[in-house]
Amino acid sequence: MTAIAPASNHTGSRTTRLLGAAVLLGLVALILLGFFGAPEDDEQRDAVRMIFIHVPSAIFTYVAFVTTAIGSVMWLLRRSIWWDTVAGAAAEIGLLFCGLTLFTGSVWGRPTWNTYWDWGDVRLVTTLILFLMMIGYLSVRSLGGDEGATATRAAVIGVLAAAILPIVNRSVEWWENNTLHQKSTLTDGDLENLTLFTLFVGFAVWGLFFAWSLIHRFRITWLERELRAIDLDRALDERRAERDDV
Amino acid sequence: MTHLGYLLVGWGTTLAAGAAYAISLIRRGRRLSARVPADRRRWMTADDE
Amino acid sequence: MTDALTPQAPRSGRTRSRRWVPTAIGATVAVLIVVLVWNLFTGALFFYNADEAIERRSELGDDRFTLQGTPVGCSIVAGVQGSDAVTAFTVAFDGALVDVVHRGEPAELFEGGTPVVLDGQWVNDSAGVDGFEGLADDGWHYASDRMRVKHDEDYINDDEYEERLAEADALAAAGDCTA
Repeated sequence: MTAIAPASNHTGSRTTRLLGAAVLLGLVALILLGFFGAPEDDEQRDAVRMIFIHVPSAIFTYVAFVTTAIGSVMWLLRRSIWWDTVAGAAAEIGLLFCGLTLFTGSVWGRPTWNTYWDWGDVRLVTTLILFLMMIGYLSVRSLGGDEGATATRAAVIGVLAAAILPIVNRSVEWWENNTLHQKSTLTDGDLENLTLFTLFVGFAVWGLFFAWSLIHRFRITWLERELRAIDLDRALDERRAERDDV
Repeated sequence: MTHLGYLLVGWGTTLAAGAAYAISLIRRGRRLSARVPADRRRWMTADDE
Repeated sequence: MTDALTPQAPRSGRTRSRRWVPTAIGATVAVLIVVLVWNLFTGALFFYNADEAIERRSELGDDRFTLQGTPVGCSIVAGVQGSDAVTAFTVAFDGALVDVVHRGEPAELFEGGTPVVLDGQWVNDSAGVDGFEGLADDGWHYASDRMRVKHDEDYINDDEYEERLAEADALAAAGDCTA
């Protein structure tokens, strides 16, 4: 059944409302667990509570940019506008997550590493390069002009950015004498049960927020395309009317 | 609680940035939806509306 | 008469400026990426572990380099070298020991058992800090002026942790410290 609903002016739907409510509930649980449930760390004391926002931001940066890469490949192979739209939407959200990863990591680094930033640190700098590449990707997408050519240029950058993801992720293993960053919390770390549980609540919240944002951002791009099509149709109609008048 | 200042800056900025982005998405969606006929908004025709 | 459907109007100044902005951002981003990659290849943070630093001592001479090692808890002494307030301690890595004299505030998480990354250089002299019995005691020490902490990926709340720290402090106070 495809009955048309009343024309409410927003990009929401029942699915996004459910997702949004779940994000808000999850956030409340995350704040309570993160600040009052999970125990402090022996060395870092309460600074360890940054892990519940930093690691989910980092993991969903990867998820978002892999989504962009998949969308980019699908555009390059099949010229799928749907996938190109997904790629662009995921890139914007990934850029937000990547920025938060850099910021929260820096704030966490001051009391634990004794520095906000180190320009020679391979994990930090490769993450910053990833962030810049996605700014480049979004800049190319906003260039305008021929949509197909723009999507193709952006898709190439999207695939290249994804290609450096393994370097970013594995840098702490491959160049362990070039980084202050610890190894992977999830694969190499030893965590208290409640710390691990809270971290997974963080993953759930970030995942739900990613899904909510992706759907809304997709629909926004869809509306922008529809508007361009409407404007073009109108312009063509006006030109035809002018020609008929002559 | 130790390091409360760092925690508030990190968590506060993260939540504020997420909220700001969410609000910007909703606003952009509303502004654009008002200019596009309902029959060209595919998600408006789904069963779950 | 021209075809009414043929696009004729030149791009407006506003459209051109809209294209100019993302182009400038893209170019800036590209330059920044090149600079960052160059920086990684040329001036990257690279540290020698304590055993490697000892192995390369003659090669390093009095060059500044970065050293990593794990402070031995009971060796940590706050003292004075000349007229400067310093922290003296021994770091260990893979069985090798290096005596360190650090000028300036130690890092907040500095303590025995948590690896540190230090900037400084070799000095061909013993530490000369009252109350510090360097465990390396090989006539050399590493003079450091920047300290960072390289904590591990374990996030544990161990009831006995405070007891172990107190034990190391007690040993240091009693001057009874073995690596």
